[in-house]
Amino acid sequence: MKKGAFASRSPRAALRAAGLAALILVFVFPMFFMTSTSLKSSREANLTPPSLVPAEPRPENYSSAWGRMNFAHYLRNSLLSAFLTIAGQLLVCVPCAYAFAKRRFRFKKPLYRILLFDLIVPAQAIFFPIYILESRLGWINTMRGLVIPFFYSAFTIFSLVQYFKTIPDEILDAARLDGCSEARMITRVIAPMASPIIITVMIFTFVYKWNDYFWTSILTTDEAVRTLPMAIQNLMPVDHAAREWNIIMAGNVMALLPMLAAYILANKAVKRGFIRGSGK
Amino acid sequence: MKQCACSEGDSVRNYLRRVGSAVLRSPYTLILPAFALCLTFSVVPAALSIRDSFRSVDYVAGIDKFVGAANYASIFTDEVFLEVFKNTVVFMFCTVALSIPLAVAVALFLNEDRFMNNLTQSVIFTPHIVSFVAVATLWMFMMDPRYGILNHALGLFGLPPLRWLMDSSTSLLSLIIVASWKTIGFNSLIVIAALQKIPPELYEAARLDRSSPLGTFFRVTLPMISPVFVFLVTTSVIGAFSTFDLVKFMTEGGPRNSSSLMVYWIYRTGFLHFQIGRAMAGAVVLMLFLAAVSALNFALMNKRAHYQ
Amino acid sequence: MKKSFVFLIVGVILALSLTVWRFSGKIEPGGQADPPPETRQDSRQTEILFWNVFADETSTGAFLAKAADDFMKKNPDVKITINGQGGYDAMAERLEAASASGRLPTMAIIEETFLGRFHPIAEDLSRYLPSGVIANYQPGLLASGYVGSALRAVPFNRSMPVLFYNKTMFDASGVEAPPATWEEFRETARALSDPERGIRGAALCWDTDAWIFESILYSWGGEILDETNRKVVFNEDGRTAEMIRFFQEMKDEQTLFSPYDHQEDPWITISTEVLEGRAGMMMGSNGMFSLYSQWMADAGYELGIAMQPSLDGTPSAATGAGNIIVFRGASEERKAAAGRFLEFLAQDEYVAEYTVLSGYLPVTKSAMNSEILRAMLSEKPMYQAAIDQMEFAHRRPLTKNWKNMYSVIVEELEACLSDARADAPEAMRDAALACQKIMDENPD
Repeated sequence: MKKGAFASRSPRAALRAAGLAALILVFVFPMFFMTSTSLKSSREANLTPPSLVPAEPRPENYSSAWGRMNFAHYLRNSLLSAFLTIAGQLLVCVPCAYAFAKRRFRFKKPLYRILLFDLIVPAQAIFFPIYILESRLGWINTMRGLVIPFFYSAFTIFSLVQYFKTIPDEILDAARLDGCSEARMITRVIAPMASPIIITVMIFTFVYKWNDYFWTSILTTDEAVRTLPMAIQNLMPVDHAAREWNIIMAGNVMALLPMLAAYILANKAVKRGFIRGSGK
Repeated sequence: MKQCACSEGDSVRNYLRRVGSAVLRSPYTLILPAFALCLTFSVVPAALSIRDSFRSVDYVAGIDKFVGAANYASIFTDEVFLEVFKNTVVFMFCTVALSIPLAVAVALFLNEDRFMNNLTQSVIFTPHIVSFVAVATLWMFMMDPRYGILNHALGLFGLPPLRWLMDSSTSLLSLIIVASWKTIGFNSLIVIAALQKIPPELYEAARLDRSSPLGTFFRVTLPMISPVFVFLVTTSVIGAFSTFDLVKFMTEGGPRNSSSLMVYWIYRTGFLHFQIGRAMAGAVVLMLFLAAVSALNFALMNKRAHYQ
Repeated sequence: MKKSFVFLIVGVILALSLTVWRFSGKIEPGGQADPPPETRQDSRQTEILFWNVFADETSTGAFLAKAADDFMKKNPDVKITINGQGGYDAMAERLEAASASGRLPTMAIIEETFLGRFHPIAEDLSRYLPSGVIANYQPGLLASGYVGSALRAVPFNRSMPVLFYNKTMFDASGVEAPPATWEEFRETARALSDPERGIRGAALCWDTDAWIFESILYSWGGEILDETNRKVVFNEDGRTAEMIRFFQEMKDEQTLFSPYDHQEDPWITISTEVLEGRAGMMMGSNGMFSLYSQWMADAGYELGIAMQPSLDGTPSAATGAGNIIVFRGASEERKAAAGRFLEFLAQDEYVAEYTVLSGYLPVTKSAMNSEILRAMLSEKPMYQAAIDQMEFAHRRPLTKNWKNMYSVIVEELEACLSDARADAPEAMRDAALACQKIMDENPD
């Protein structure tokens, strides 16, 4: 940070600095408080007035949360479900979007409308038949049950189609004249040209899947394939036991660290991705 | 097949190859997987939801019969459902009214490309990538009526403590605050991107016209960024209508249903109380409502497209 | 193009028919939901899946695991798998979900009132249990297992609400005996209270399924449903509101601690108050006796246990907690094996041992005379109060709608004891109307 960034040469600059400070306070403070609580003893966590900095930092809260959450297991599930979903979406949605953007065929419009159905209907509203279907298929508590329904995403298809349309037809025609198969067309021509949007939808999918609680809670009943948000829930006791906020916050910090690290490392790409996702 | 390595076999193989390559090249093959998944996990479940909303379904008692509009009659005479519906609409309006104008203000404030601005912007975006579960537990802790830091902060300003999630008059408000806190960063990011696309000449022209800063904002900035509003409103509305995690974690809809929202109600009615017909009727109402909102939005979006 | 469109149609039809085929695949309800692969080969072994209401790590989980091991040693032809489900509500939700998907276990523990909901899929156990075993169950506890003349559930972990008190605190305040009536309860609470030091005489939690409310209401002479189980009567006279007001007044005069102003689980909130010496008594399940005694001893207090107070010296209390049911859809071999396991669990040594371990009531008559139980009573004579209370057991609501109904009632009750201080008559009127609507829309 540059020194003197806050040096107030004029009241205007001071006001600016105050505004920035207020914003940072509102958005950073909760995160800071979460981290600080995660290092307190459980007695200190419930103190009034609350202490801002732990009197005696207790990093062992983290090992305790790690063990109680069975963190490694849930982390593995989270990573696996996020990456499998991304892979599945690439396999399912990219060819589909390519067909709708660049091929002509009969019933294209009505079929596209049906495919975009999900944009209007939130899947949460129709979870019950999905639950019944999955349980009859025996997919409850399986990784396939947790990822296969998400291989299709109306949002992904829509974003891809919008972008694919901007690829000039001449390039595709030239490739076709060279005897390029559809599979090659998608992997060698479309994918490289559309890599920004593909990265964008991958980021979206990753964030969605990593943070998803609703579907995990509906489609699983034991911890075999449950993901990190469920692990935090495990730290919130239901049966007659006290909430240990310090441990819960330690779990929170651990669950968001991978995401935060990725965000810090790829800050520009993530932000650009979200902006592009807005279609602008 | 093996013993028949004759010409006929070759022609069969050729035929298969021809058909195979035709199938591979067909656009229908390309869309088939997505289409099958869409049918299986969206269209058919939605159809089944609509069907079940007219039925009385009870797997334990072995009942599955057509009951006409009884489920709809039941939920529309149910005070709880009506309250939940009202809560959802209030929640939607408040999150939109709070998070979008604030996001515009923040975006204008952080628009200039400076190090501190970019840093602040990155920081306020962080809640968007954090799970609702983490956000919910964090805010629950801060909103605890006894030792929560928010009440302590109110005390520093000489204000009386609030009971936040524990009081039916403040529980929904608390959820609105948390939901807005989570989305402002995302919204302002989108607005900033739109602001930076405004050609500087427009501002130049406004300056030459001696337009006041406020006048410039209303005559140049706002019209230029208005297309992103459609996107932001759509995502906020859909987000508000599918809010589940916050309710489940922070209040379970209480006290006395004051903070229950539609998706949570559907979940509770269908999945915890297994009144499947009623839950599905609620789901259909939600779908219709969202379809109407989306249609309105698309209409606006098309109008905007002509505008540009 | 045309050709490939045909392919698409064929493909979709194929995909859908595959789905539908699996959808309608034959599943034996009450069989094993997902048998572990390594045990699948041995076809002579009957595998049964038993859903325990408590998690595997709890004392009940450990007890059942050990009992199942003992049983399997003597009966190598049966393999029992026990899965913990995490609470009575969670169990009910899982059973609903499992009936929807046709993947029920062989047997399960349910809260006794859930028989009103699950009896259509529960087997008549008189077909699988010798009559001697049935006759040996405590009649007060067996009653809730009957639907009509069919025995659809047998008692396992059964309890009644009792009054837990901090005997050390009683002695220090000069209170000699635990209160027998609610008026004495209030007096005792006043004697124990010291608002300046944050000490309340008593703490009260209605329970998540309104069980404590229900039980206190019975002691107040009230009823939830009439004898037909179709009419909601708890708001017929002003009794219920008057009873709630009694506790509201205690809260106002700072002699009663209410957990409903706190975000945490109400049970943990009030038991922490008692444990840390900030509250002198609380109503709770006698199933918590062993755990609470341990906690109190660790905190340096002596725990007392007494019968639930009454209005005028005639006690009446709700029974509660777990009965075991066996699912009708299971195969004959599985049901027979489940029956043998139930018979095994009803032996004196297991019944008595479980009571000692947990504090739940001894569910058979003969277990009362067992060495193990006698030893326990000579060591902790105050537990006799829990046993004595069994004869004052009150009938419970029997309707499939009870879960929906108590959810409504609890919301109102919580509002009454929270700082919102809802008006009791109004709250009970709303609750009664809502409950009657639930029953009328969905008659049993």
